[in-house]
Amino acid sequence: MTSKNNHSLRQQALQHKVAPRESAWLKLDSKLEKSRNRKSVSLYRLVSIAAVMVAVLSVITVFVINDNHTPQTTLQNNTFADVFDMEELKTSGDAGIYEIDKLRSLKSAYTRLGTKQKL
Amino acid sequence: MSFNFEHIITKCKNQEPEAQKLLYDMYKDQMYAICMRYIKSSQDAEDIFIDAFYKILTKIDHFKGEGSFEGWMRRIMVNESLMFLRKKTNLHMTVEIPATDIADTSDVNEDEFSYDEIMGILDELPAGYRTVFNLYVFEDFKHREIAEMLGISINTSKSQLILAKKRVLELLKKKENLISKTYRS
Repeated sequence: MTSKNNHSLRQQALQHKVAPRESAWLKLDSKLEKSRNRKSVSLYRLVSIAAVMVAVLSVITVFVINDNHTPQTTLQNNTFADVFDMEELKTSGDAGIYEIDKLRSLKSAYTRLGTKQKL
Repeated sequence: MSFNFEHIITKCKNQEPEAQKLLYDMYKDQMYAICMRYIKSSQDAEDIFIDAFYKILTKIDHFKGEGSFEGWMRRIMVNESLMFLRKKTNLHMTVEIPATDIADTSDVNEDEFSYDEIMGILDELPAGYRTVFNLYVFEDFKHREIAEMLGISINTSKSQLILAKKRVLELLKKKENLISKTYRS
């Protein structure tokens, strides 16, 4: 079998045609239909997964924002409470460095000492 | 015409059913003929043809336009047929002729076979002979490529082809004798 003969056989083979049965297309079409359905189902699934993820993320974000606001208010309240407590101590009748008469006498003693030294 | 064909391909890439049917009608006869050359049973050949065409239509976006579209389709048909043969049939490709004998016998068959004569006896050849004969003569593959595709040595591919040619010649002579005997009687 020469290469020239091979070439002519190849050309004839390229043009050779055999018709498949009509049912072949029906089988192929049903396979294609299944694959189309599978694709649309997977796309639908993908969209729903994305929607669920967005919903979960937004809920998480709302919680985080709320959490950030709540501690700040507590801190402010505490500060006020501390200030209020200090004021309460001042007005209390407890003796010590907060006694005004003692402070006045100390101040006058220092002033007297100061004028003596100047003289 | 070429615009129409490209239009069909584009539509097929979008998985449009009408375009898929058009492409199928354009090539079904040529593609089925390829499967029939490799596979003896017409039922198996049809199943392979359907699977291969399904692959063509669903993986059409893999075709990058390098080479002809028909060539790409033919390659898929051949590959699917070979996959079936590897799975379902034993190709019996263990017979090897020594390299020196291959060189001697390659020019033995001077007879030229016609396509119709070969097609008439192709089914009578063992699967191994038929596969190598098909790949070498009709698909224009080199022995190195055939060896890679079938997982055999280059020498095995060469010897299978020579034995296939011998068998074709024998079968043709047998047929000729039968015809002349019936003609005489």
